[in-house]
Amino acid sequence: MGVTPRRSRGARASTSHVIGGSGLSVLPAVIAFAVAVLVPAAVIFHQSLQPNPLGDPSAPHDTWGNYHRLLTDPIYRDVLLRTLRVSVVGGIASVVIGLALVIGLTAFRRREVSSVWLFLLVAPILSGPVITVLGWMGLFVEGGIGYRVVNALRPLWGGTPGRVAETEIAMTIGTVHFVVPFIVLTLYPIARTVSKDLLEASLTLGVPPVRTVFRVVLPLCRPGILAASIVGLAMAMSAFVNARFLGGERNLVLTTLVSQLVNTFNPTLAAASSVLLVGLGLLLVAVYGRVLSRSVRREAAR
Amino acid sequence: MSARTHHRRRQQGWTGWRVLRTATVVLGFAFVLGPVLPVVVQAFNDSSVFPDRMRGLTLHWFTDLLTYDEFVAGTWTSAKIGIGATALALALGVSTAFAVTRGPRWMSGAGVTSVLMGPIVIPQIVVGLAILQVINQLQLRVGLAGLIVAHGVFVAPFVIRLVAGALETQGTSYEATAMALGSSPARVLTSVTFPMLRPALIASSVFAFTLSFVNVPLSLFLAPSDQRPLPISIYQQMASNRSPVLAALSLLLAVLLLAAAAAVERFLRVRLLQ
Repeated sequence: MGVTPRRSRGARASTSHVIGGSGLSVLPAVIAFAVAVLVPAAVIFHQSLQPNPLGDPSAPHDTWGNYHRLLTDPIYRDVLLRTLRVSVVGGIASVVIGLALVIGLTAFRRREVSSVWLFLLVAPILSGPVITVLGWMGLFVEGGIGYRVVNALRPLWGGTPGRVAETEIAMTIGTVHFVVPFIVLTLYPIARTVSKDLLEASLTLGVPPVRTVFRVVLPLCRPGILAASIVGLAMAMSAFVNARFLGGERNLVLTTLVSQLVNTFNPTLAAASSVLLVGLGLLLVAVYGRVLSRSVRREAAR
Repeated sequence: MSARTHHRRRQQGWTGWRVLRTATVVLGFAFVLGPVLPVVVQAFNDSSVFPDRMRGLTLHWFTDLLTYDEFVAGTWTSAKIGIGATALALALGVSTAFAVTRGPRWMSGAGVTSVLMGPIVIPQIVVGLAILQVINQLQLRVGLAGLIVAHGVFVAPFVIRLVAGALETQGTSYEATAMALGSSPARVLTSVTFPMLRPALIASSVFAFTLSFVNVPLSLFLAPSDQRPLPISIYQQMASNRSPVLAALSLLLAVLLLAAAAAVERFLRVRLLQ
């Protein structure tokens, strides 16, 4: 998602005469970011260290008590593990699906992909989560198409056929559906720059198209896959409407836990869960980013 | 290897690739667009249960929409928030785009960019809750302002992306020419830079407004109880009382928003998504 400057050094010399050349115009965004993100983050962290207003007022105050409870109470630990499962499985599945779609649309094509196709793929971003979640509810109802497909596939991972609506599987599928358009947005600009001449060379040397995709196109998309994976993980973890309605109230993840804790008037535990959610996201992104960027570097060194 | 076997092998390879590509693209599109089907069906289904098997065609879920005061009021609330958020996102996004494309080199580096793009990946429900806590602690009475700020900051990254891309492409030579001919910087901005940026500005406005208009997680905690944005009203109905009216409403909304985006892309020759 980076913005790469394309200017030469010569152009840089006249920077002072260029409108916006001082870079000071970044200030409004910095201030807005501080007001809308950093200050609230500090406030919510402070709040997460306060005692539970519903708790015993005579009990000694334990600063990290809310976090301790989230990490040790089996109910909350379940939520934490489910969040990890759904975001890792969902994030990776989204990248695989998004990548397959983007490569399927662009590989070996000299002409630009019609913007109608791209528009349809990112349409769920513009239509918002509500309509697609309603749709998944309709598909997952007993006897619906989604219900049948999931139950036909369930034996593959050792599951037993049965209810689909308001399960972790339904939530994971909904999350993948929510994330895929963002993956397409991230990967498409990179996939379309893959050199057609390299593909031509590979084909001329007798490498079949499918193997060319795996040996040439995929490695060239590596940096994009890194960016897309981070976007995918973070978005899968922060998906809310999908988790609320497709997972239901029995399959909470951190986002839906936060909303439930706010509704049950437990603001300090809600604050601690929020901090945990952001922390977990940063941790996953850091670990994942490090693993992937190492493999990108190894590829580049080869 | 004779020329003929070589040729045949290439042909076989292409068949394999075509099958694989077609299967991937068809399945992928079915997955992305499939969930719209039940919504379309149920919006016209003459049954008061959602979802239900087909019991006849009707349009009365659409006509019923107007009798829901909260949906009508919510539309106006969401429109107000959307306009405010778009204005804020444009102000923040355009100024930042100038800085990252034309400012000192370190500003176009990965560090600044990733901080500014941060709002895309921070869980929005957390931000909504956190801003609410600030508002409560300072005992502010902000009405829709909290929502506008939150939405504006969170859609600004999309504006930065689109406008920075356009600024890169148009370069600075036209501005330099205008300045050399004696125009003041303000004049250059209003009669050269911004007119050239117009397609990107229109595309980002439509994108920003739409993203704000459909947002749920940012608004969930920040919405004043007497002024609920439309998606929050729908969300609350989904939790309490699922009715085909919701299918009709979300279908109508999606059609209108997508038509607006498609019209902008088509008529203004803007590539909204690149």
